Amino acid sequence: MSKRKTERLLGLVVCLLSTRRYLSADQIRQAVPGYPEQDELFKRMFERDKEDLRELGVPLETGLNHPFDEDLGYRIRQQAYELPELRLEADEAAVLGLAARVWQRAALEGAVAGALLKLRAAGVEAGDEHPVPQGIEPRLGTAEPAFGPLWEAVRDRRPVTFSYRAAGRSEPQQRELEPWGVMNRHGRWYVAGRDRGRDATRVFRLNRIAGPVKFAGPSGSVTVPDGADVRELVRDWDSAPAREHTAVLRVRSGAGVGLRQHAVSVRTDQTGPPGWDLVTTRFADVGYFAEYTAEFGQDVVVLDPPDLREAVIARLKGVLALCHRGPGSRARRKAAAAVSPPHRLGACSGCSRWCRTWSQGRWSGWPRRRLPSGSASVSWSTT
Amino acid sequence: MGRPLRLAVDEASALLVALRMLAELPGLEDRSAMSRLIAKLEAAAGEAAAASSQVAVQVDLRSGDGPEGLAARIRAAIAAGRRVHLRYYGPRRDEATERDVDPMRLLVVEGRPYLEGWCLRAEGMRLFRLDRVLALTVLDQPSSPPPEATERDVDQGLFRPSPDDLHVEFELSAEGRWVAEDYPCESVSDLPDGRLRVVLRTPDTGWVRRLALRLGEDGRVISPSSLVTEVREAAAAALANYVALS
Repeated sequence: MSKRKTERLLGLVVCLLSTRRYLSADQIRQAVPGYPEQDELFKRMFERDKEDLRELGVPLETGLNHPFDEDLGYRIRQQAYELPELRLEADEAAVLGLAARVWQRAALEGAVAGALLKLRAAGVEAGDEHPVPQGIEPRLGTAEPAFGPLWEAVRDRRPVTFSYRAAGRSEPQQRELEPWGVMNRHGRWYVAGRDRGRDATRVFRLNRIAGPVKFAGPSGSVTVPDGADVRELVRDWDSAPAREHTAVLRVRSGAGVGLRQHAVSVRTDQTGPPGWDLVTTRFADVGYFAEYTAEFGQDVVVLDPPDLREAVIARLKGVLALCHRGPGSRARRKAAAAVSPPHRLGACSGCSRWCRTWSQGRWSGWPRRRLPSGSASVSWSTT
Repeated sequence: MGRPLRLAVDEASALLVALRMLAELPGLEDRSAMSRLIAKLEAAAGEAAAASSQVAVQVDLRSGDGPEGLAARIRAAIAAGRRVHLRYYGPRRDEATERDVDPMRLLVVEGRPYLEGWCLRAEGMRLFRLDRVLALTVLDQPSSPPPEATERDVDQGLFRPSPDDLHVEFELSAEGRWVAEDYPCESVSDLPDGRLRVVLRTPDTGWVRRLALRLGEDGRVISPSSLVTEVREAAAAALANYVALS
């Protein structure tokens, strides 16, 4: 686009934004520098400019200021359009007031504040009396900086780009996404859509977006496929896999309360020294469950399966290895040498599918490899 | 009703998302006002409502749904002004405690339901996550929280630092960065190779020791040095169990 045209378009946009009434073509020609005097030339140029604005995603409106006006006028609304009138019953208005209080510190706070103002102007006392039973107060925050642009992108169906740091990765990567929807689950915000770079459906966590979210195309250029259910996508991505494996653990009496809660069976251990119980429980994934078990320290000993036991031992050795790292006394270096090199649990080498969450509700994001059953030792790649 | 209401698309969308979340809460006595309102907003918003339906909030009420569920029983206790007895699991200390609580309100924060009330055992206000309540009994005694029992302002989040907190410094590898996401950190700074240095505040070092064991090689405690020693000894003691096995 030539510089002259750019300046003219800019002038046109500024002019149409600043007006509340529709401006006729004639008024526009007078107000915006760069339009020719001759009618035909101006008409053609103006038509092309309107097309360009629409392609850029600028919401250009046409209309009449008065029913008896002859010429169509133009303007641009900064905010999206207003809706037709709503007439509310008293109980509906009360519920609306409650809904307005749900958002806080939000990118949408402005939108909600506007709604509340309008409610009061319409004579509705929002929020003081509400039909929700005494005691329930829902709250929802959107402190994520990425939320605002993604909300707009979903609303206007625009693709976006952003830098994203997947879990376990040292460096962020540039991603391009056609966003279908945004979802909050357990306090975390997620966006789901089609990843253009990978040509596949992806789910991203908003708090892993590093840097600003930028629009990568005009409004309406994203098609959300029929039946795309963002809630399902995020739930699948974030949910705990089935607990298909069984572990047998020796747990000190009175300790390991968390482990006992979901246990299949608990009985006193008669085989070893007193003061221990045998706990049988189910788990989904060796790596995740090993982390959880390691947490209990000397109060839990994994008896079975062997791969789980090795993984827990590796985790504990990892702690010691880090403690002994670096320059130190001869005794410490000797101790370090006595600890075999820790097995470093495999990190994700590439996001080939969206990652799963550990059943304790913590998102870790790296696919863990399941070992063939019966294998006695663990070997993990370090790529 | 009075004058008509004209909302902008953004305003209607924000309200629709909130309404749909509210609609998921259990035991709402009058759902008809909610349904009518959602229908009116969706009709008025037209295509824009489709956009708002793509923003969803899931409320996780595993333990609270149904009329006999935990949330309903707590609400009934609040309405009747009765004290409750809880058996509550605290994951940080890995312990189940028995508490008498004067319940004051149910909160849903970040998609999770909490009971807030005056805990007689702690002699203070406490927030109890419903999915950690192992058992609940409504008692015959009346609920009588003292005058200093005031509800917390949760708009700033649930974490409450105290001046007695210990500052614990962690160095995390790229794989350990989730700690900064899951726990409120006093400070977070980037190190080379995707590593992170974080400072956490906590009144309880036992929990931090457990976190360090869980992290394994993905992170380590840098300070205070007493905690570094505690972690090392805990790992060594746990490993000793396995040596004894073989």
